[in-house]
Amino acid sequence: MKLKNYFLKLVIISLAFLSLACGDDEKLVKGQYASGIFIVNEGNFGSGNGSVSHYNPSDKTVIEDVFKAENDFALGDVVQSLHIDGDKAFIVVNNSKKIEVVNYGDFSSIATISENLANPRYMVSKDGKGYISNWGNFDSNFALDQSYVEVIDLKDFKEVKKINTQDGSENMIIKGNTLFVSNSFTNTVSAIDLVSGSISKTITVGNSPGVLIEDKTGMVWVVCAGSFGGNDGRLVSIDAQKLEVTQSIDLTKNVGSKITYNSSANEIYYYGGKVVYALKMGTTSPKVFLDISDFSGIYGIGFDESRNAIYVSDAVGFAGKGTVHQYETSGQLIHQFKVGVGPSGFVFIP
Amino acid sequence: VRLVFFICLLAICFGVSAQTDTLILDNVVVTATPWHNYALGLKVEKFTDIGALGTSQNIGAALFTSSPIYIKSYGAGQISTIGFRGTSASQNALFWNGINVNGTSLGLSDLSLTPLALVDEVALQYGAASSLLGSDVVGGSIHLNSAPTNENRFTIGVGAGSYGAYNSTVSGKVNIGKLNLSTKFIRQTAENNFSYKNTSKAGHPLENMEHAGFSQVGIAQDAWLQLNERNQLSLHLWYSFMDRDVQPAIGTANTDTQQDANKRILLTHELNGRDYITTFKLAYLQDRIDFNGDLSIMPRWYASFEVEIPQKGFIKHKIGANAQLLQAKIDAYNGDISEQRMDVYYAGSMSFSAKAAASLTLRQSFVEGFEPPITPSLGGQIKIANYWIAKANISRSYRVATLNDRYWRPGGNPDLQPESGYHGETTWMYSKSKKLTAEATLFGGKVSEWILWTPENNIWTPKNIDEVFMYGVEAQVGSDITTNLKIQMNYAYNRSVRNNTISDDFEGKQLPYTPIHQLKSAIKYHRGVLHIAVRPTLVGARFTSADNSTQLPTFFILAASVQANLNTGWLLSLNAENLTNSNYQLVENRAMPRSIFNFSIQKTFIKNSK
Repeated sequence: MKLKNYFLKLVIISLAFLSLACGDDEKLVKGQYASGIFIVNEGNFGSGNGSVSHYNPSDKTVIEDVFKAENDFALGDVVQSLHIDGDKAFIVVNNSKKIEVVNYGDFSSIATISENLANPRYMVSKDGKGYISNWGNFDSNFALDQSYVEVIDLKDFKEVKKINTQDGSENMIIKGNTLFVSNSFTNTVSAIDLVSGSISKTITVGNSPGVLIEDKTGMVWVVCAGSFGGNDGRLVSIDAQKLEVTQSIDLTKNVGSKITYNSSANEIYYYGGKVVYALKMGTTSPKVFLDISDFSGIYGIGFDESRNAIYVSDAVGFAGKGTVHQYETSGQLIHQFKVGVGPSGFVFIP
Repeated sequence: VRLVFFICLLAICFGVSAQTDTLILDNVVVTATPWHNYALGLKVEKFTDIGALGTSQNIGAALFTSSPIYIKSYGAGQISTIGFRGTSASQNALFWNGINVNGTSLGLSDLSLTPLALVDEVALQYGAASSLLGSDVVGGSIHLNSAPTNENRFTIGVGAGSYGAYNSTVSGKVNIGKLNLSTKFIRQTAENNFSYKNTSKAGHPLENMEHAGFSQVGIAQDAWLQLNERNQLSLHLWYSFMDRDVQPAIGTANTDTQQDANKRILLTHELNGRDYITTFKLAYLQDRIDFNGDLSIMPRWYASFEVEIPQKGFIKHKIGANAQLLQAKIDAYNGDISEQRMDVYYAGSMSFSAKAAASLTLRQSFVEGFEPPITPSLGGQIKIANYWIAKANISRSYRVATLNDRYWRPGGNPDLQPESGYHGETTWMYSKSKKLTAEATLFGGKVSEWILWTPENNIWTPKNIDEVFMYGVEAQVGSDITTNLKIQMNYAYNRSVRNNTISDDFEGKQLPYTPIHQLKSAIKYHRGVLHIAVRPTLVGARFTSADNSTQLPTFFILAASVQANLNTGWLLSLNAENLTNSNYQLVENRAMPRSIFNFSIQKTFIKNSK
């Protein structure tokens, strides 16, 4: 039975590779990390031990701190996110106020971007331009000075423009010519017109908006973690053309600021505490998808669309290596493994 | 209510003081029995000669090379916390003239804020002594004291060293009849632009530290007044101010600045009656931290009253009480915090013969919202043979959660329980002559309800989670090989092992930043006016993660000093630290300086009063 499963997976994976190899002639990236999953590990704040781990789901091997292994220097302090554009990976290192650019296939270092960044968070890109959300600097009252999106040219990594947003600019998604930015210290999402480079609308969603995703109908969704102790987490959908809220689902509790989307099941997965919930699009009542009792708490979640698996991470108090669980879409645990300190995000390379 | 309490204490104190009786006393005497006589079986080490601790201006750096304490330092001149016997920083306490001065928000002391030049005596107390000394004393405590002398002396000194370090000190002690005055002043600055290997850049280039400079000023003023044959008053004032650039971890781009100001005023009255000795203390302490312009102010009132019944037959006792009013003005708290704490305690010490003695202490602490346990301790010592003394102590310990643990928003947890522990230790001492002194201590204990901050829905919150077993050995050997050559060596073996914790991966693992092995030694030689000291220090690997998957490697550092103590009152010193140019870290990715040299010159004028 197990063997059969294994072969089936092997066939699926091989088919996937074949289809990629045949269908996508841009796929020229070579190297040990050209396929698989990158796990972003924040590390301990102020300790400079953030890292990126690589997981190969076909043989279930983990390579830790890929950046240091390939470049022999530390990635930095609080690794926030990793964005792929073409053959490059842009690793946003929050408290080092920099972005390390590598060839993602072999993770060899290309450049370090450190200009015009202040508490950088996430990055997206389109048509040769990179968009980096920045919280900006804190003032003496721990209030933010000015959050912004830094626009850079992906050829020379130089600044093109700076677009001021609202406090705590966090996650982003590009839909057509609109860049949506969640402003995590507020209750808004900024919609930026990429042609004019200016804000077309500031949309009120819910408290502490976080990760944005797009569903298969083209609707943009944002998770709102809720105010501290307010039990007012929400999932809010935004019409990407009209820039209007179409649905706002009260989750009746505080939730994590990260969500992920499974298009074939048409479900959003979000979490609170040790529980992952699934919300089917078009419904308003979420169901408990996973209750991970041996976790100390969920810190990150990601859905691997190409290999149909859900990954959930536990930072284990940031006291040592983090844990990642890999599940089938049925909720069956496939594998669990150790990664760096504070795993918070997943990037899937087909 | 608190005010009434203070007034009552005052009234009791002076009421008792009013009765007089005759007793012949020296010019200035400290009458009450030192606290450690009621903590028999515990290991206590006293340094009445501060010079014996080395020549470092910072007490943390000095203790690091001359005691088995692990000082967790975030860089040169940066935050340095105390770690006795594999405990966490807040499970240790710093006492100033008998008062626990640990900050109330973080519950710990930063030794970099305490220049050695401002104290007369340092005592180290190893092991749990909550029963005698109150909350926080789980791993051990450091005691800084001011002491009067009969000398009239005035000292002035200046020094300069590597990486833009300058210091100047002025101190004076005057003895006018029944009044003893002491003033100490220090100012030190350092650019700390030392070079370090930047491991976060390709090729690990040597770079200059650009953000670790500091400037520090400290003043200590003490006055002792012998009112009459039986009454003595003393007043102690302390002010220290540190302005520093917070040294960033390698690879981070922080430009944080922090200013710490500590003000302390303590008034002590001692009455020596025929049948009792009373000690009354009233103090006001204020800690102020300005981090990037964000201000935290923590004032505290303290009063204590103690009555000691001197030895009658084979036993002496004391009972006492202290009350504290803690306040905090911290932005991250929901409004200003005010908290009352009170302790009552008993201590008894019995000497059965010239060879055997025992002590018993009992304490009950009252803290708003907490129920600290009744905390007993039992200790004793016995001379078991010629040159041999054996000691033992068993005790309970507790630590009340810090204000941050309870009030920090978001995350603060008002439902925390105090940490609670059980401890035992035994010390065996051998001393035939100064040719050979040796002692070994075996200790063990368990702390439960250990408070740990962990993230919950991405918000950090503290909980009573861990149970930690601690055990180890401390051994010390000293020898005056000749009258000119002395060596001293101490070795510490520390295990701090987690039992119940948040993850199976941490189970049975050593706590981070607790070295298993430490070997520290000093070789001192003097000839004529010349004094030479060499201090080799070897510290074993320290895990940086709870699952013990990452560690800082073993390191060796060597410090040395040469002093010329000229008869004319001139003292010339040349000090070197990290002569081996070791690339070591005490906290992950916090660079420490390579070799540092410092030259100082000091002139003392002495006039004996009698």
